Amino acid sequence: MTSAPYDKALFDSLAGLRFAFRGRHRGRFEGLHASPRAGVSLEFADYRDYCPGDDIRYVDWRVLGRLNRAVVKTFVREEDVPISVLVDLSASMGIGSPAKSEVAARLAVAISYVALKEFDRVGLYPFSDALHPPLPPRHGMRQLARIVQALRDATPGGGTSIDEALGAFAGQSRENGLVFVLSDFLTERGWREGLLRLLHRGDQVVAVQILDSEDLQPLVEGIAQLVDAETNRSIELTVGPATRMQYRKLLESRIQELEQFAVGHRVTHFVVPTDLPIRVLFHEMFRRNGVLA
Amino acid sequence: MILARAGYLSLFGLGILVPLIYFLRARNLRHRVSAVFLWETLQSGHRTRLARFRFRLDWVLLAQMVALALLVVATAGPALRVRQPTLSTMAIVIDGSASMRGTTAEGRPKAEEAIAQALEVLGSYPGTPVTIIQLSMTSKVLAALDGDHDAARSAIARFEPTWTGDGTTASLATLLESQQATDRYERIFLISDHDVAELPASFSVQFIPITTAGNLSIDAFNVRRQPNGRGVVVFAGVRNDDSQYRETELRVSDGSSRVRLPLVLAPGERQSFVLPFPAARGVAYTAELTPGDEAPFDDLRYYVLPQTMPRVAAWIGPDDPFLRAAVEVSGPILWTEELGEAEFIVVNGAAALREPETAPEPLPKGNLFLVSMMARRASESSVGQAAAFAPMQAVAVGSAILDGISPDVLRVDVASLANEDTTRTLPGDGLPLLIADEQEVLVSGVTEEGRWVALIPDLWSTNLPLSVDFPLLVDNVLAYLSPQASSIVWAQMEPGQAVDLGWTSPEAQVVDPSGALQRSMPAESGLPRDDTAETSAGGVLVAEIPGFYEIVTSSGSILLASNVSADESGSGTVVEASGVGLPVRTETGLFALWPWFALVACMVLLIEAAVYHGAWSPRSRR
Repeated sequence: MTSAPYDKALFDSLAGLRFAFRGRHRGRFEGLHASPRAGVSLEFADYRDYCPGDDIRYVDWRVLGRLNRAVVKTFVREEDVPISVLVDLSASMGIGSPAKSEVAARLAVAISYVALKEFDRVGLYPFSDALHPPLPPRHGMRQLARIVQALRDATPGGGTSIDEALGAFAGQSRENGLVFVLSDFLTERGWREGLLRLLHRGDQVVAVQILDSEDLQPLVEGIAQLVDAETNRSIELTVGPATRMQYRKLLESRIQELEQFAVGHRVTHFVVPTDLPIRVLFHEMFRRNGVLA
Repeated sequence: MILARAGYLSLFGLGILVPLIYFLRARNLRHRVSAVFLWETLQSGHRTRLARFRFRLDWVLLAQMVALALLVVATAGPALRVRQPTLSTMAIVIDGSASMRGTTAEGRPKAEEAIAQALEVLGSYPGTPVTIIQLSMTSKVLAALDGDHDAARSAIARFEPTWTGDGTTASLATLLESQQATDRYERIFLISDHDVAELPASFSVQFIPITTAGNLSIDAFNVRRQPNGRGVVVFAGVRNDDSQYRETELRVSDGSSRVRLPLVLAPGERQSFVLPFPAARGVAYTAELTPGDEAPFDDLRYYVLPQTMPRVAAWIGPDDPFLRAAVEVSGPILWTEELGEAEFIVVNGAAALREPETAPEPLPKGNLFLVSMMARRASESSVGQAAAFAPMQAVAVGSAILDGISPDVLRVDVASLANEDTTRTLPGDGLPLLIADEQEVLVSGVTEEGRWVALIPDLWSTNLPLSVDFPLLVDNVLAYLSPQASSIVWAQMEPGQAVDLGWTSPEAQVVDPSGALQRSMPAESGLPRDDTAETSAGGVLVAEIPGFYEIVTSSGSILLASNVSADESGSGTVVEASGVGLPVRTETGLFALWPWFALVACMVLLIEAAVYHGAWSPRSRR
């Protein structure tokens, strides 16, 4: 992808956004998200009995005076959450104008920017029929530059194997967190097993299904030779309105299948046309579905 | 609608090419898809195979066929029969005076407005023979009478106002008649920003007025030297013909220093000023309004003080303070030793006139003022002893040499003339101007080598040195010998006005205000190439633009100031159109429609391109 996957207007539109997390995640570093561990912050968590060695500054003297029982106050520990962005770079993502891979790259940069601004760690995991060399989660805006450069250097190609890629990701990453999967999910090999592995680890999964208008409403008409972008397998077909209608029904059923899975497994699922502005995706769809705080 | 070339409609047969190409293009379409496995389950049934034969409205195909049809009709030469106004002949007269360099009340340049009006008139009478005339002090025919409207249109487009004053109706009538000798013009369209005096009754004139914006102008500018020699006094008049109060500043400059006068003028007000300018040193002055207005031609005026051109002269013989003083009082003299450079030569004490045997040297060549001075001084020469002298008599009445001279009071010692044989010593046969006792006293003549004037008696044998007429007589003699005026009093002129430069030498050149060297005179006489002014023997200068013109001769240079006429500063009065209702004949003509068909075809093709590239489609085509 040679075109710039980001611009200043995109970043300006994302200022002040923050990802929301269901529950409490264990992080590795201090951050801005509540952790299941107790720690030092301004947010009160609970009381517990005093044990020798506790800092007497945290003894609640009022409770001691009223109940004659020594308790100490504990506070919520705030930690960071690792955010992993899995980007499908298979050949089918190269279709469309703009190409689905370009939209995925812009979206990945936007997610990384929002997360890095909130002091979270972000990792990039490109994949096609296997997991490509990743960028492990790191803090700081330098990581954003590395992500941008990696996406610029990437070229769509190969087939799609979401199960295999997500399995490899689950094996590599030891921390659970927020995982974005950016793909068209148009694969014969399936995606269910991969998503289940992420859910089993305790990840909060957001599945962003990027589809071009040519996928959703194809314009092909008459006698056409249809060539698969990933396998180069071709068929000759006489396409008319009835054929296109059947295709749309079939595609709709595939989307519905993913949607039903998402609803049943607390996976957040979005269908994103390539002509949808990213600002609309963030400010309307992400916010409405609780991805953003 | 009629078709001039109906056979061209057979080109409609080309229309079959469009759907043919369309269907050929539709075959064997390769289409990349994200997931062909989704399509594989749809492999075609009978209904989908026939889908391509169903009617589908394709806007691109439709637009191409419409464009082709329009082009075919255009080639067939469609035309409409229409009734058009017509005239046998017409003239379009555009005011080309300097006032047309201003702006209209709407703020548009008057020249542009005049061109637009002229083109509109021209378009209203297609095919009518027309002549285009620019009316100004130097009127000219822009396009001769002809039915070629393209040539007339380009002549109108070339129209540019001059810097000259208004043209006269006489010159307009002359130009009109020069184009149409046998018949009168059926209609004359006069486009001007001011009322023009009535043309001859035989002309049917429709006046098309050009409005005038409010104008701020310098309508008077004059400079005089202070009698005490300390600088000059400036006289200036400023007029505000606008409907608003105007604030400006009058700046008078001599090129190195200047005086400034802030002004506030009420609508319609005229103010005149007398400004002392003690620091002024030069002869050329400018007066400028800063800020000016949109008609700048009258915001800057030029003035040149009267100047004197030095005359180059030579002296032969002993010095005589009386004679030299009389020569120098006639004007500045540049004395030279080179006789060939001198405009005239004073030969003092010319013994050769009376004793040729003792003076074998020939007279010099050139214009000669011969004075006999060899005789002893006559002690009796005094006004008080006039009775010993014979009175002089003028024999060439009307001669310029004797202009202003009273011979009755002039006396000469006749005895000093009686023993002399003077005629043999003169350069040639001459015309006696003054005689005394039937003896020649003053003689003038012309030879191939120049003019000459001879005062035959000894100067001191006359009472001339003591006479008040003596300097005047010498001035007249020098004016005869050297026609150059001793004082240039006509240093101001207007563009278009012919100025006689007969006093200049043949080598004289003119430098115009832009610094360009104009034609030398009198070879081309400084006349514009297309001007109608006549050339005098010495050359004529017709200034084309305002500013300072410099006349450069071998003995020096003088400046002339050229100013746009104050009459050109429009008063802002509203001029009314007239002659609009004059009757016009109509005749049937053909209005060509093919350009419109071709234009619509091009637009349809543009729409087709936009539709094809998806600009007008809800979804892009790939």
